Amino acid sequence: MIESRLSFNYESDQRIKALAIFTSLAFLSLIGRLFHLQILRGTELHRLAEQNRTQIIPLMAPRGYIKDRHNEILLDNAPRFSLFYSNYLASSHDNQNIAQQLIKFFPHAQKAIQQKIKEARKTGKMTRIITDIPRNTAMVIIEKRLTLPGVNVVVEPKRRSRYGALASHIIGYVNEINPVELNKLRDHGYSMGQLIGKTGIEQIQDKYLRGRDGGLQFETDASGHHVQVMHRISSLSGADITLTIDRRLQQVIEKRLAKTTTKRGAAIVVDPRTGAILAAASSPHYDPTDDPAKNLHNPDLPFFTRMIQGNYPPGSIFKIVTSAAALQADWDTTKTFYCPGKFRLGNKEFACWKTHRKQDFMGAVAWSCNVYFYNMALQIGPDPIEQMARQFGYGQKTDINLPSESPGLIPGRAWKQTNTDGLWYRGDTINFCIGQGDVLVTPMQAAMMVAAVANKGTLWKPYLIERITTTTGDILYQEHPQERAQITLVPEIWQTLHTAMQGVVTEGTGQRVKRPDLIVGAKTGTAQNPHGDDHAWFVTYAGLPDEPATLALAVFVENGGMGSRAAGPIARAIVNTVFPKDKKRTIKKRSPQG
Amino acid sequence: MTDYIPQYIQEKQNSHIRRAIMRMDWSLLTAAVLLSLMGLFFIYSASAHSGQGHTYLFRQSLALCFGIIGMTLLMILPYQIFQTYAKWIYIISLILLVAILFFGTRMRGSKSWFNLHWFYFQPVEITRLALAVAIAAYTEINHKNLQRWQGFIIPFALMGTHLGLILMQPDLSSSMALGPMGLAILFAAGASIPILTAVITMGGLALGIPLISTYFTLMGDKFQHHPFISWLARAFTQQIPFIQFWIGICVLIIGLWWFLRKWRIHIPLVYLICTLAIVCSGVVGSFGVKRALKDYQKKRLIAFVDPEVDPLGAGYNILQSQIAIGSGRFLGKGYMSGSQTQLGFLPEKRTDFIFSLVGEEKGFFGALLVLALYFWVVWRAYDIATLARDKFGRFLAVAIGTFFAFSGIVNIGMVMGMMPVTGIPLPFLSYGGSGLVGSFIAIGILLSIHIRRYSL
Repeated sequence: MIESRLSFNYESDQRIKALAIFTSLAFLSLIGRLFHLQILRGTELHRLAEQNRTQIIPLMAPRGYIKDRHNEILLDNAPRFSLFYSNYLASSHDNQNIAQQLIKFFPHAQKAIQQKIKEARKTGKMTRIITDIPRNTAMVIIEKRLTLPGVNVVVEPKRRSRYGALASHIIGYVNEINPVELNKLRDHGYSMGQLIGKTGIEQIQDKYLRGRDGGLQFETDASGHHVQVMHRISSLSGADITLTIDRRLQQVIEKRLAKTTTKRGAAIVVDPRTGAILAAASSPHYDPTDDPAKNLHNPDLPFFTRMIQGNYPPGSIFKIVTSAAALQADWDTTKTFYCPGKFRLGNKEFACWKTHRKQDFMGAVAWSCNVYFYNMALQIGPDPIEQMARQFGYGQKTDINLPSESPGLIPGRAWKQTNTDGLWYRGDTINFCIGQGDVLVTPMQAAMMVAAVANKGTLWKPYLIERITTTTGDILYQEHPQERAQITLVPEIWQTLHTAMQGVVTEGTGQRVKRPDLIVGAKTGTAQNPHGDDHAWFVTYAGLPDEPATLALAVFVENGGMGSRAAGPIARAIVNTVFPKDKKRTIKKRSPQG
Repeated sequence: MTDYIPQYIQEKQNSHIRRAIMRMDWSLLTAAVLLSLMGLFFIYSASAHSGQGHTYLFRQSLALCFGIIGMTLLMILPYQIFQTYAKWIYIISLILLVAILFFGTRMRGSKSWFNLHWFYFQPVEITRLALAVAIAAYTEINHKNLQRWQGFIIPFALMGTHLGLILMQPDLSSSMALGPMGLAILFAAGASIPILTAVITMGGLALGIPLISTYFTLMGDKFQHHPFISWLARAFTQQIPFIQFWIGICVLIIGLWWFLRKWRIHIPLVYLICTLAIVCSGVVGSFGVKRALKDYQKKRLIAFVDPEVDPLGAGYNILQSQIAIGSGRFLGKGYMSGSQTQLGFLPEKRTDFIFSLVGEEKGFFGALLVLALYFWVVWRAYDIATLARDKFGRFLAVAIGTFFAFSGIVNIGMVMGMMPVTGIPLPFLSYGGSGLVGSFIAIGILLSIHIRRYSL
């Protein structure tokens, strides 16, 4: 026993000795390396340390361009001047001196300058003091370089919009990264002082747009003056994004929305063959270059993207859904009802907007007769309507690639069961069938519904980005139309719906978009809401005769009043922009019809 | 009657203490204390510029006091007690590691600290000793099993659990020292060398493959003019060529075996199968590692091969650190006047890169002194292992010695550009209270083993 223990100890000792020898060798090699660095290369590295006044100025990569569908540039970059400071070997007195001199140039930024110079002193790194200084000031500072050691003026790219606030709700804006975002994104290569997209496409596609920053390594002498550029890592500009937006159309609808009585609203133009958004505007819009604080307290909520975030009662445009549900339930379109201007259910009275007298289905759609729809809905019941509404994509997000989309709301028996007193009354059906009551939709959903009617059944996923390309033209991303759902109705029903909607244009409430050379279908809506004046809706599709429709749109004016009067002219302007009447008469010259 | 203590008992007690003092390893204690005092000095130098020198100095000094108290307690305590309660010690360490995942405070991306109001406590500095105790206790009883691969299961399970829990924080650098520590115990316990080699190969493949593939991904198409390297790059970055490549390697191994057979060099089939199994499991393991490592960690690990990969990030740090050390030359630039450090070129100068600071401000002699003291600590640990009275003490001392050796070599190698940037701090010198207390506790255990090397 003792012998075996001894032999174990002997072998184990040998192994521990091996470990110790191995460690000794490792330490010897560390000493060798130390000798190599400090004795053999000491002089060289000492010189390098002296030269280590070299400073790296980050070279900001230009962000990718944002273009419209015709490759017209909407956003590019303009040069701006920024002030950098590094304080190798500067005493705190020198720093104070430099801060005082700079404050003379920028009296309003006194606090920021002092803080940034303190930061530069703490880190010993090249620090950005002020961005975007006026050209003249930059020139003066460059001339005074000798009295401002360590101060550098650097040219950087800055986001510039060619068309002001055009499509600001879609494109979003960029700003310097804040500490919260930095914490989240540090591992993805973001660093302090960089620009980052804050909302919209600038935010969502930031990884494509941002490019890669470079660096400029300067050798500086003891007083901080540049001696020479040692090393340059060039920056890589970001990828360009081509939108599906048509710039001209976008301008038209933004101008028109701004001219409405309430200046609040949204308009969306879709290509019903693909789901591409040709124009989408939310009014009022904000200017990204403005101070955000100014817009924050605006009662019209400019930051609120009405086209996808706003939940509104759809009013009569919802009759398209009710009609589809009724037709699927084999509704006889020749059936007539008499409209006395009101409808009595129990002891409650539901109004129609005028006295239509005797109406068949086509007439009821054309003149938006509520009483006809009340009768029709009470016969088919609420369930087919709810089911049809969901088929048309209501109550769900449209999955457009923009932040904070709202799903809207489609009530039904099940919804009432869980969310209210539980019972579905016949009065609910009456409200439901004309898009009142609890029904809430976003303008985007309305536009996608019209597009689905126009193309006879395909509910597209709306998209805004056509493709993303590198500056050399390689395609990084190409969007393909994506179907969200197929609405299963027989062709005859689609045909009847089209005929009815075209009837709205030729003889009904939607005559504002009448164009004899086109096939145009429309539906107006005047939605009552408990918070104020009626909301105006106008949905339209249009196309050349004997061809599939190429245009679908939804116009919404918040508290605008009558759909045909408030939203109709905008719809007409859109149709006329896409299909110019004749070449000499442009939209601007045309006087608005009453 | 009650006050009466027989003379010989009193004498025996006195002689106990006297013998303990005589058998004490004073040189180890001196080296450790000297190192930590140097640490205090340089931590102050590293922080003075930002005006926080006193704060850091005070905190580290306090930790040193606690460390020395802890060391004294553990020195007095017979170390065999750890063997008796090894199971409980291990379980408590697991509880600590699990608890930190729930109640820990997240700092710099990893949840490794308990917030105890007036200080932060990093339990991994203590749990690693618990792991050493557990493995040593197990190996003491089962060292004969280590000739067969079945004998490795439990030690590896013990290690793997700790490793997994620490990686979940995630704290890559603290987890790295565990492997060598455990392997050293097994090695000292006479484990079969082929099996150990196989394990190390497997681990090497599992860690190496993701790094190589990250390297090639970062380099992009820089190699497109070299047909062989670009082929290799494809093999490591794309999925199908990757599988083809490793099947090719396996075929190559089989072919080699077959040819050797033709040449009348017979190698048993078992070895072939084992080799193939090792390669395969290494490749499979690499997928797990690939997922566990974060991009910046992979980048840091390979930046030492080629600082160009990340010239403004990880590579920049290594370069600045080398410049700092080299520019110190023979005698250094003097205390508190290293330009690299004081002007902020040197990253993490209080913690991971403190050795560069020593090199810059105290030159070759200062750095050599640190290396010598450090080496002495390791050397003493291994010596104490061979002198220990039982196997448990022997294994524990080997583990502690290996931990100090590994951390020291990897850290100092890193700051001199010989090793990847791993974020392992230098025990005794780097700023960090838990680390310092943990190191002194380890020294206490070593002293306890040494004092009791003969039966008392």
